[in-house]
Amino acid sequence: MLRPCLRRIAALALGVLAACGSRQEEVVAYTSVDQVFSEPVFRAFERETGTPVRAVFDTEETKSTGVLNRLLAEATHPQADLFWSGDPVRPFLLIRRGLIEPYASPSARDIPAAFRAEDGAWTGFAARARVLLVNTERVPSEKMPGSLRDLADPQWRGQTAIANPLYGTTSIHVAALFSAWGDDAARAFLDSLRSNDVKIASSNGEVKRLVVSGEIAFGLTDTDDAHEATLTGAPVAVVYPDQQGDGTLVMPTVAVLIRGGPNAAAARKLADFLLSPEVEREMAETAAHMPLRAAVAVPPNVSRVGDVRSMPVDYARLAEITERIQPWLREWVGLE
Amino acid sequence: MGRSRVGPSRWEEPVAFGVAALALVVLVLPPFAAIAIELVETGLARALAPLASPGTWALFVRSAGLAVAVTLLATLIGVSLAFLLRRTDLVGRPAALLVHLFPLALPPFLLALGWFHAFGRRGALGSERGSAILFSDAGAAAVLALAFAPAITALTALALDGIDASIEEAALVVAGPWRVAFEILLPVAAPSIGFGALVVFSLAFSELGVPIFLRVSTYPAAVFARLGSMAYSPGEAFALALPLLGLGLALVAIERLVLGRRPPAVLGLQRARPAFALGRWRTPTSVLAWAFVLAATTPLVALFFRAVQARGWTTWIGASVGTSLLTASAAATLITALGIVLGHGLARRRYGSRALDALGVLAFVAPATAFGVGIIATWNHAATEAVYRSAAILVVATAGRYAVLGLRPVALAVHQSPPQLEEAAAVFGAGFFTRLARIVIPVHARAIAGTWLLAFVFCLRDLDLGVLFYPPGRETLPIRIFTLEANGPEPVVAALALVQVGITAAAVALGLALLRRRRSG
Amino acid sequence: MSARLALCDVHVRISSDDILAGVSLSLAAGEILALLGPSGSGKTTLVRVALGLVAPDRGSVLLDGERASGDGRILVAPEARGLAVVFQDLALWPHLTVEGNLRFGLRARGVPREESRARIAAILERVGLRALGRRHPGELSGGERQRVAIARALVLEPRAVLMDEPLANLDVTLKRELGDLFRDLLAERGTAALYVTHDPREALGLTRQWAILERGRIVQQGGIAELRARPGSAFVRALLDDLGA
Repeated sequence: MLRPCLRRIAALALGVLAACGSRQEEVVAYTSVDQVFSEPVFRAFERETGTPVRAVFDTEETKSTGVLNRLLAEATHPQADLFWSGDPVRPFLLIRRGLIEPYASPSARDIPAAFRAEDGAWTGFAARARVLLVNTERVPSEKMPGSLRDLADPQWRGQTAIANPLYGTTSIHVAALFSAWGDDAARAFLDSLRSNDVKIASSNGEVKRLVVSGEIAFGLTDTDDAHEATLTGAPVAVVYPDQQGDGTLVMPTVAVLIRGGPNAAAARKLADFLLSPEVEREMAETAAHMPLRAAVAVPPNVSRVGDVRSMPVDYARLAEITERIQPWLREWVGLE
Repeated sequence: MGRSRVGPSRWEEPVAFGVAALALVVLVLPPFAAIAIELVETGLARALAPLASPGTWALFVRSAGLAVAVTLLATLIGVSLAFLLRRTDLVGRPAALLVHLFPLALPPFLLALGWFHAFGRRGALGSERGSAILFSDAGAAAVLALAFAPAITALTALALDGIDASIEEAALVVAGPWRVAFEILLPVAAPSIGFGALVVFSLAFSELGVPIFLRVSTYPAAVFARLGSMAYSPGEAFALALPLLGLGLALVAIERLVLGRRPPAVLGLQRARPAFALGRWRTPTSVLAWAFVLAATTPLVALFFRAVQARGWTTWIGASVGTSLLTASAAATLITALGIVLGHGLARRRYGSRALDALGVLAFVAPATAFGVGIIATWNHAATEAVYRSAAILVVATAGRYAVLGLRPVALAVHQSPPQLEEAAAVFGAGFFTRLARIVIPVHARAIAGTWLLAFVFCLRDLDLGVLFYPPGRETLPIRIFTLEANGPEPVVAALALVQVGITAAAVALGLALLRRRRSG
Repeated sequence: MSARLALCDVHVRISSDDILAGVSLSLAAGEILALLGPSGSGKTTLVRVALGLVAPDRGSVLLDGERASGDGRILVAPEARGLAVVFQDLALWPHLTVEGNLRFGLRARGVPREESRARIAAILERVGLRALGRRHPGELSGGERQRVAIARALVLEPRAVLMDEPLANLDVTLKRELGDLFRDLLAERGTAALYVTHDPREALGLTRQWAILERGRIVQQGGIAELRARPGSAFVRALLDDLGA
């Protein structure tokens, strides 16, 4: 009785394997830009060029080790052609290990030079910023926070949140603080957050969830999470912190080509497509990502990078700092 | 109890066992070897450094405490419900069992999310107090216990079903039903319950998503911090994984000591047994049991209310349902096939089978992220590309991780039937394969089918492992749910979660229906 | 003087099959009654009705004149009937030792520990298993397990023992040996017993009082002499012819 079932299943399995062996032109893209935003872009590329994109998407930062670490684990035998990173710092981990193939795409010529490498090792576009998402029912307009330091303000004790600083964009933000303020001031600030009972959420998405549900008064998150929150119709407001002070941290998404990937030519085509102004406009409209180019049109609630006072950072340096402060952060989070 | 002797064709059994053993070893050992190599390459001193910190061990003990609490709670729930829903005349038993089993379909994080929607501050049943309780150790323990209890219910029910009717009846002639239940039925089912407890403890200890979500620090987070952050240090991660593996082996040893020497229950005629009558307690018990089972569906209801607002969610499914069903079926079949041969070997005390059992437990207990990185290191080569680049890698990985779910239940079932059944066949000239096909499998068909179903459910809901190396463009439904969850519209995520529950429920319902038919045969 | 166990016109129907179609049977105190019949005649069902595991659709079961089953219901629960059973597969509880198997029923009846211990020791001595008290059933031979099964039944000092083909799987020597043991034990204690078997020789070794069950009915009950003189059916005649003169 079991045998015909077994035979059928074995046949199906072999069929699956066989189907996967077929070789047409395709490009394999790993991305840590949220699937809801990146998948439509890949589909648009497929429609335009007829080349299928096989994508690996990322989960929220604590749901999996992340696409970057998969790239590192696969380094001896790369499976990916292109990596579209949601933040500008992680690609440096790949660059440092010599896993990147530099490519200066013609589409990227009009992207400001500060946001790309000269040799094309990495190119930034469609950016996000670190913002404060505020629940307007819990926070009256006169008390609206304007700076990162408000997270440590005793009047908001136990009512604020940040995502786990070991992961995701929060890890980069913390590194930026270490870079801008110096080790001691940054550590003092984080300790003050701890003593102010700041909640450590598992991800930026969860910070959004907590603010939307009124669980907390305000929290630190990314522009795309904040934008999604406003779409739900919840009573929230978005604040670009420290516009009068250090500036808001801006994080372009970045495209890099993987050295030794299976489909190098198709990878370049995809890079050209991603780095085009059309995609920046698309990302601004659907994902509230801030264009780097001054000329790109934006919907009303989205700013261009040029319009916002941004924190001056060296992304390469941030990569080093992030790795260096990991042990201290682990202790801070309570993991050792 | 000596080892049973094989019949005339002496080569069949060793070869079959050898092939199955080799298959299991190939699935499980190379990832561990890769991990060990990574450990050594990092430099043992540096890698083992985190283990020297007292904070690490404090976290370990804390996690173990949480896991123990979850296991005790889940065992209490699981054993009680298995008994009530399988052996008494509780109202609407089959339906209650199905409803109770649903949490197994979802990765626990989704259930926690559902609880949050219900009990968070602005939730439907929300309040500050509720929120405070949810986001605490007690809350995490409760959420996980409710998520994992069905595993114990399923294993206990399988065991209760397999108990020879005359053992029960002989007891009923001299003692009342309660005494029979506590002193005869439960002790005979104890090995299965023990295995269920081992499963739940492992799941609870290595659970990452729920404690992080409910802001409870656990040990696996320390492992994860070294694999999921920018300080990618697999060597340290694996070093941290070692105590977990050690704990797993310790549990197996304890389990063998406490339950291992149990003599088998003799398998006899399977006849329909009358349910224990609850008498005047029938109505109150039924009400309470149903209330509990329905209350446990709160997260599902909360997800449902989110899901109804979803527009156009079907476009987001892609091919993921097909991939899920295909890979889970293939993996479950592989697990069951290996389980039949190796489980039979374990029950008949074949040389080497206990080591294989321990290996299976290790694969189950190891942190998914660590095992996953080992899988990548093992299979990501030019020679094995055909596997690594296709859905087959998901089958290979989940089959290795959940192999023990096939091995143990079959071993427990075979252990219950006397070797004479097979020896008689051997004397008549039946080789090992014939004996398997004509004696072992038919006699234990129900246990084997139940095993397949259990393996299927676990493989279907696998997330932590598959997400690490799923073939680009070909993800399963749980993976898709989680990649979409990052800023995806919540109603869509909820709708997809319900689809996941739906396909699991359909498979389980089908399986239970087939099992019921088989019983009357 | 009422019978220890009596079935009165018992009918049992299982999925449109009349397993028992009007069975009447009585077992007097101290009597050993052999119940014979072809396979499929309903012998096992009869035992289970008497034990209270199955309710008769019609008719009643009486214990010392009191109704235990009737009106389609079980009026007295199985554990309260004061009966004991030895099943064909013995059904020894595998996780309990030999002593544990014997103690289970005694504890359930609230027999004080000292008395329990004494009774268990006495009966184990009588069946020749005193040294094996701490063993588990899985460690015993077939014959030893049989002795445990009968000891387990008799240690409870039951109103009657029902034995459903207990010796069916044994070889001739063991059958005879254990059959003699059963007969002696029952006689010593004056316990009534209903002994179900399909083997007339085995029945003969135990008792000369037989009841014949054919197609759900008792076609005859009485002493062998009477059965031989006036066989109630062809089957009865064939049974007794089989035995020889």
